[in-house]
Amino acid sequence: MSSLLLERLHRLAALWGPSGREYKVAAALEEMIRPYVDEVRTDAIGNLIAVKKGAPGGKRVMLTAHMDTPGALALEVSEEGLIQLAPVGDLKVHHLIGQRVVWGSGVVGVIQHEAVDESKDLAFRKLWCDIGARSREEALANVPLGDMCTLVGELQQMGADLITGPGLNNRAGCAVLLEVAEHLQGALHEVAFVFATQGAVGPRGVAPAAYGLQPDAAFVVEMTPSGGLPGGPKVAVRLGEGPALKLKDASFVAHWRLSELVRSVAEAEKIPLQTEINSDVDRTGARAVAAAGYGVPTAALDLPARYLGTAGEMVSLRDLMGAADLLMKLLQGSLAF
Amino acid sequence: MLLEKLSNACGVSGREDEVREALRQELAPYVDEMWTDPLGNLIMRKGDGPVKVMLDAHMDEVGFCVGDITSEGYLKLKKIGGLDDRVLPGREVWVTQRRIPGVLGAKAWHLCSAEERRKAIPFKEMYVDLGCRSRAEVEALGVELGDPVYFATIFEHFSPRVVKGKAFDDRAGCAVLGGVLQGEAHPGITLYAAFTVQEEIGLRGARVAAYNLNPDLAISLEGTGCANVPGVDPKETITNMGEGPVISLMDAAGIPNLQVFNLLVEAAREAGIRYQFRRLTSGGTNAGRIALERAGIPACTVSVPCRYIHTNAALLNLDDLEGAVSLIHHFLRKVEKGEFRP
Repeated sequence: MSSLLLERLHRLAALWGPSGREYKVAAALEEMIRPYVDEVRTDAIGNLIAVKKGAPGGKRVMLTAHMDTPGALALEVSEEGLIQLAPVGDLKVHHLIGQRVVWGSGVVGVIQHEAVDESKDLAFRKLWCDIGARSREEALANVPLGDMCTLVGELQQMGADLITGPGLNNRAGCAVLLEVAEHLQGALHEVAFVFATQGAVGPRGVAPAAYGLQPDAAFVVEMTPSGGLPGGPKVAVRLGEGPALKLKDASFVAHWRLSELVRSVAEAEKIPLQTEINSDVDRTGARAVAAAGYGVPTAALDLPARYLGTAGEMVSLRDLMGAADLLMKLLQGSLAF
Repeated sequence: MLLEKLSNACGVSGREDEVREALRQELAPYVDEMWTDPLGNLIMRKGDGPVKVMLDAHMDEVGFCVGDITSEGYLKLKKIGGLDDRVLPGREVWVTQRRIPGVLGAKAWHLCSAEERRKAIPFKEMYVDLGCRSRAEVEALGVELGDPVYFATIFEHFSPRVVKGKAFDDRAGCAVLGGVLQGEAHPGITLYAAFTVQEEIGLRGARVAAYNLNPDLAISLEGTGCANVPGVDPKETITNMGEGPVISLMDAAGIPNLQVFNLLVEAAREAGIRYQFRRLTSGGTNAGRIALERAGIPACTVSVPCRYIHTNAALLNLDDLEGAVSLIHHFLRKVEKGEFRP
């Protein structure tokens, strides 16, 4: 395992970068990937595109992970200086109560909810963010309307393999791409690493990137809920048992031949690979990439995770390394499918 | 007045011809070129400067189409776009562009059970009464399945600055865009005015227009919800009529491009234009769809507050509409000066 993976994960997860406001993450990723690629650019809607050139006759491949996290937007401020919120992405009310957040302005706040007798009365519009301001004017001077906040907290390791904390979705996917960029040997194919915007509200940013690149194949690295939890998603995917090849979700079906190639390479290289079928999720960037321009053969390689969208997201370093390994082995092969 | 002409024109999604013709006639003197694309979007070009700006306003309105003609001579309707069942019974309607008068009927109050009276009348129980007694009489009027049906509302002034009309979503945006074209020229800009089709049924026309025009940036001009009315908590009003044009923070279809958003706010502040933010994030606008066309297009939405939007009678304040025109001009001046740096 790269000694840098953990370091990168810590750095990336700590960055403020809600959907549509990813510029700090893009700047950090640009700095981190620059040594490993030939060209880096940002497109019209903020996607960071880093290209490693290939050999003549090679294919053009896109590797993508969205770099935003969900958050909440400042919609209005009360006379008392409390900030009223609207969700950006899929954060749940009950996961936010009592959490600390940071705003784009750098100001820290605490989320709380109006007092209710029953949990069914919880509602996003009854949440507020307290930044310690004593008036509407003071709050607006620190957090202008339209600013967004995201969950904050340190990542922590659990045993040898697991990491927990906020912001892992989908900075863990970004870290996998960096790992591939660093260790990829032999420039057979041209590889475009796309760190996409607005995945947590979309997929949105990745579609224009795919349109602009028109690659011969694409691999999307995101996170997927793992099963085995009481009342949790009824899926076969488990945390720590390898990356998951998505065959179907509510909005995507896999490109069959490309997926077969992914499976055969995993088998040949003895990389554990799970199969994912989940009809309850539909935000995968893979569906937008597959339909971009003239169409793109697309495979979705997901990182199993627990508690997505909370301050205690959990991923397995083994799964991340497995995904990076598998992508490298794929890119070092002929990519014939 | 352009808004009056546009509000009185009829055009549900897919049937925007009358609106398109009105815009052509009114705005031809102010533009360099105009054409209609294969989907029906009316595009006008003004200027040929180096920066390509697309201003979008959709021509279509919410309404209905004839879904069935009963043997007794009544029309059953299908909705086109989002309509609140509670505001529909008893409304006068126009059937087809020929404006055949009808009324949206439903079971009368004195025939309803106590339970029925507590609930909104389901849309499927409503019908249009044309005064006909058989299907043959309806057919003799030339009414066919699929024909459009509109709220029968004539534009009028309630006061010198407050006006009432149907279809302010999005004829208000069309009027703002027309106002921009009628105003000062911007030699540094190739201005594409895109009067788009089929917004109310899924942001369809604008994506085609954006794909074809491939602008450097885009702004969608809209009529938006507004509820500074009795019984609504001032925190929940979405926007306030009379308090200026509205800049979107986020909606269901898109998050504004930060540079475009900031430039709009700066333009309003520098020009001393009273503006407000839209304090609701549900509902989608074309800007979100335009942003994803081709390799990505920076976009944001600017709106005019409209009370009772998506009903037969919306209200708006002309100060807000003129404020939006002024805001767009100041924004375009900043773009001309090179202040938009993607």
